[in-house]
Amino acid sequence: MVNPNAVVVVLGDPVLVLATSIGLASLFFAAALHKLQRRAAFRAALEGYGLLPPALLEPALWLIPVAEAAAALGLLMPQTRSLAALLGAGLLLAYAGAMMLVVVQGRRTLDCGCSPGGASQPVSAALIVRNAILALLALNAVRATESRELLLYDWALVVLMALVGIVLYAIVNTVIASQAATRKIANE
Amino acid sequence: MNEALLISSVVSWVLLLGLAVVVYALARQIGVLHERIKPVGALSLGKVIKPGETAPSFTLPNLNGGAVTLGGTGAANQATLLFFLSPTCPVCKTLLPVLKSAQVAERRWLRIVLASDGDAVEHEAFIERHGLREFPYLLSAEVGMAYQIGKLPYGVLIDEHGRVASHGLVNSREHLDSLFEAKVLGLASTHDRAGAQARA
Repeated sequence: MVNPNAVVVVLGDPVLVLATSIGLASLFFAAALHKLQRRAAFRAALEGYGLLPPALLEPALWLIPVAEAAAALGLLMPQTRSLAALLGAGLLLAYAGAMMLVVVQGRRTLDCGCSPGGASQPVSAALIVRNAILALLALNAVRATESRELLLYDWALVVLMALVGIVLYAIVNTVIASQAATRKIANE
Repeated sequence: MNEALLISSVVSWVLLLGLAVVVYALARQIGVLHERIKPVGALSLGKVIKPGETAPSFTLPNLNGGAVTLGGTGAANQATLLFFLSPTCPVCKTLLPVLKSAQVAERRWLRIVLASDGDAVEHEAFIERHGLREFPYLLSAEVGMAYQIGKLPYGVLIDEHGRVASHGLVNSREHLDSLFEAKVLGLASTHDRAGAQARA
């Protein structure tokens, strides 16, 4: 029988919070970089969703990557972690919401804009679930952590966990993309 | 005892990382295989009008002024590339620079006509934003229906005698080139070419 308190303690442990913060920070950093580097593709993706009024499109092209970069930087600093985690969770949930609207409208062939300028990938339920899980991880980092002294062993775990998390995220993305391609083949 | 646990935990995480990297490599390989088995050339989907048949005649208003005539013997012995697109299709936008350069490079024998349907205001904005004034641009659901266009961007190449030379889905410059090449070789699509090569 697992003690619920123990789960709360483990989730709030600085090792786990630090590892998820590093993982999420690299994710947001990469996302912001992609969007700024390939602005034309990012604009096309935003227009594809058709959720923003045209007047807001131009500012959103800047605001979204800037917000992502701010979340990435903030997550790495203890003073700003809670705020940045909240911002990050908000962004992730906003993307999930936008994709959910698209799925509800039945426009499942729309490119999700996950990697602007890269391989196109249709919006899918798996991507929404992925974003929801990431948002939960971000929300977990919002809570103030129980501070305890971190030893060498703890730091080793932080680095390893963050690396495993980043690779797992890459795996999930690749598999979701292949899944979409498989579905397309099956439908033809 | 405690130290043994610590060491075992770190070792487990290292192994987990190794496993994750291997799974990632496998997942990438599957992705690459998917890329490879995608159709390589302009895949024909339209079943109604076959290459070699006479293209249906249309005379329609041009959004950029005047009228566009499709089918029949082209003016100045020119072939026509009828390119179906939509302002809401991201792949179409990535092909616009390719179309512009093809229009200049191939203008001796080819005119490029853009075709779509829907609200004229939306298309006017699209033309303005992407600088498509030099292309004949028509809005007609009938033309799309005549060729049974189900996927975008789709290209139909009509030769100078008013016959459909080749048609297919156009996702890249290579697909566009393969439409032109199919016309030169007198083959309907890349599939036929693959077949001809296999027989040769």
